[in-house]
Amino acid sequence: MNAPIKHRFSRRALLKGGALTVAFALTGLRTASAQGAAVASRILDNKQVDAFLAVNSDGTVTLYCGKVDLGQGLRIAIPQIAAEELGIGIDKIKYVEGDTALTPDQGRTSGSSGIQRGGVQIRQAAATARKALIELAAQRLNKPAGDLVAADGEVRPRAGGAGIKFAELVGGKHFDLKLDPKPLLKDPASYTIVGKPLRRPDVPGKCFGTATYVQDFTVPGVQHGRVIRPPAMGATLVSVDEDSIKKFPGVKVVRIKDFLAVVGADEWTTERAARALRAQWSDWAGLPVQEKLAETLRATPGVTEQSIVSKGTAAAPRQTPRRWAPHISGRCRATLRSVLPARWRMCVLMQQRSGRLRRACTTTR
Amino acid sequence: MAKYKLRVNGKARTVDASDADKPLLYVLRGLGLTATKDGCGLGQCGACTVIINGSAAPSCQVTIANAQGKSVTTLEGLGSAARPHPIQAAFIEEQVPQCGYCTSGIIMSAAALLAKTPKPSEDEVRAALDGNLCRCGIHVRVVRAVMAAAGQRGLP
Repeated sequence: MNAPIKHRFSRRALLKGGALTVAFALTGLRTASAQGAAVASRILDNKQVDAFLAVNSDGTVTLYCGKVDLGQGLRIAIPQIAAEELGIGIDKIKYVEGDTALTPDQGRTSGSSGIQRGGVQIRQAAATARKALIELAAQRLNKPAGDLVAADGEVRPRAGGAGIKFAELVGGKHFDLKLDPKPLLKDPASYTIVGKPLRRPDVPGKCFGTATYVQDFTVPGVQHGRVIRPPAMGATLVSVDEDSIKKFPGVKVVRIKDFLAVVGADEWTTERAARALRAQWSDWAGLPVQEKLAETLRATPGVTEQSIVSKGTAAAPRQTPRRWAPHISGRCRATLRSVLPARWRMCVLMQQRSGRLRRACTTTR
Repeated sequence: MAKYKLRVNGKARTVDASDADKPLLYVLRGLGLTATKDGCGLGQCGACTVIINGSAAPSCQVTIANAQGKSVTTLEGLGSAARPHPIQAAFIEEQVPQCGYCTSGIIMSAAALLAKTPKPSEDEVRAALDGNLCRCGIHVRVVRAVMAAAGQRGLP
C-alpha cells in the first residue's frame, strides 16, 4: 500500500537520546514518562525481575511484556495481573510490549500462551517484587514483614498507619533480584483488579481507523511484491518472458528456481505486472481425478480402517493409540489440499497440526 | 496521468492515476486514509468496504474511473472520538473488535444499513453483514452492537 504514514523518528535514536522509559505501541512512539522515567539501562534477562517491571520515581510502574497484543486483550490483561499482584492501581501502570530492545524474550505470541505463559511470568515477577518491597519497608519501618501489606502503590502496616511509597523504596533503581518462579501469590479471593471487565485500550483506535497496522506503515523506498503462483501443484517453471512486463516502469522479475515474483515501487503497477507477466510452467498430472475422489482417498495409504466403533464407542471413544500418529501420509495430505476449496485448506492444515483431522479421518470411515 | 474528481469524506478531491482500473482502495490508502483495509483483493472478504453514494461497496472492486464524480465515505469520515457515529460508539461500548482488521469494513456496512433501515431486525443485520468476514469470530458482538446502535435490544 502506498500509505503515507511514515515513522517520524527512529526508536533507537530516541533511546540513545536519553528518553529512558519508552512505550512503543503500534500507534507510534511516545515517551511513557518524562520525569518518572528512571531506568537507565534495560535488563532483558527473563530470569530477572527487572526484565519485567520497573518502579519509577514518579510512583508509576512500567511493565515490559515480551508478548504482543494482537487483539486478544493483553494490553489490559497483563497490567491487571501485574497491578493486582504488585498492589498498585492499574492507572499507575505504564505498558511496553514486544520491543526487542526493551522487553524480555517471552517466546512467541501464539497458541493462547499470552496469559497462561506470559501473564504467569509477569505475575511471578510482580509477586517477587512485592515481597522485596515489603522486606525493604520492613527494615525502614522496623516492623516484621508479615505485619505489612502492599497496596495502592505503597507498603503499609496491615493494622493501619503510615506506609512508604514504592517509589521511595526503589524508585528509579533496579531490583537486582532473581525472579522467583514459585513466589507467594495473592489469594484470588482477595482480588480487586483481576476479574474486572476493564476496557481494552486498543478498541477505540480500531473503531475510528486511527490504529496503525503494519500494512499502514511504510518506509522510504519501500518496494511492493506479488508472487506468481503456478497453475498446478508440482508444476515447475520452464521459462519467463521478462519482456511481457516491459511497459510497467520500475517493475522487476524475481526468479529463484521455481519461485516467481515481481517487485516494484508502485503497488498497483506491480500488481498489474504480476497479471501480465507471461510464464511457462510444466504440466503435472499428480492430482487425483475429481470423480474418483472418494476411491482415491480410500486407496491412499495411511488412512486407516480403524474407527471409534471398532476401537471404542461414541460415548466412550477409545484413546487413540500412539501408533496411529502418522495417519495422513504425505500423499493423502497433498490430495486433501488439492481437492478442498481454498478456504478449507487452512482448516486442514490447522487441524492436521492439532490432530483433529487425524481423528476425523479415522472416525468417519 | 489522467485526473479523476470525486468527493471523499465530504471533501472534493482530484487524484492522478495512470490507470483507469486502479482500485479505489489503493487510491484511498494512497491519500492516507488507511482505515480501509486491503484484505483479499477479490471482493470476497469485506475488509475494504466503504460507502459510495450511500451504498456499501468493496473498494478493491471499484475502479477510480467508476468512482469518478461519486461521494465516498471511509471510516475516517464516519465519526471521530469527539463525535462518534452511533455504530462506532456501540462497537466501543460492546468492545467488539479483536484484531480489528475487518472492523472498518463491518462498521461501514452496518452504517450503510442503518442509513437505509434505521430499525433492522437481527436477520437484516446478519444479511447486510454477510459479505464481511471475520477470522477472530466477533460476529455475535457485532450483531449486538448494531442492534444497540439502532436503539433496539440486541442479543441477551
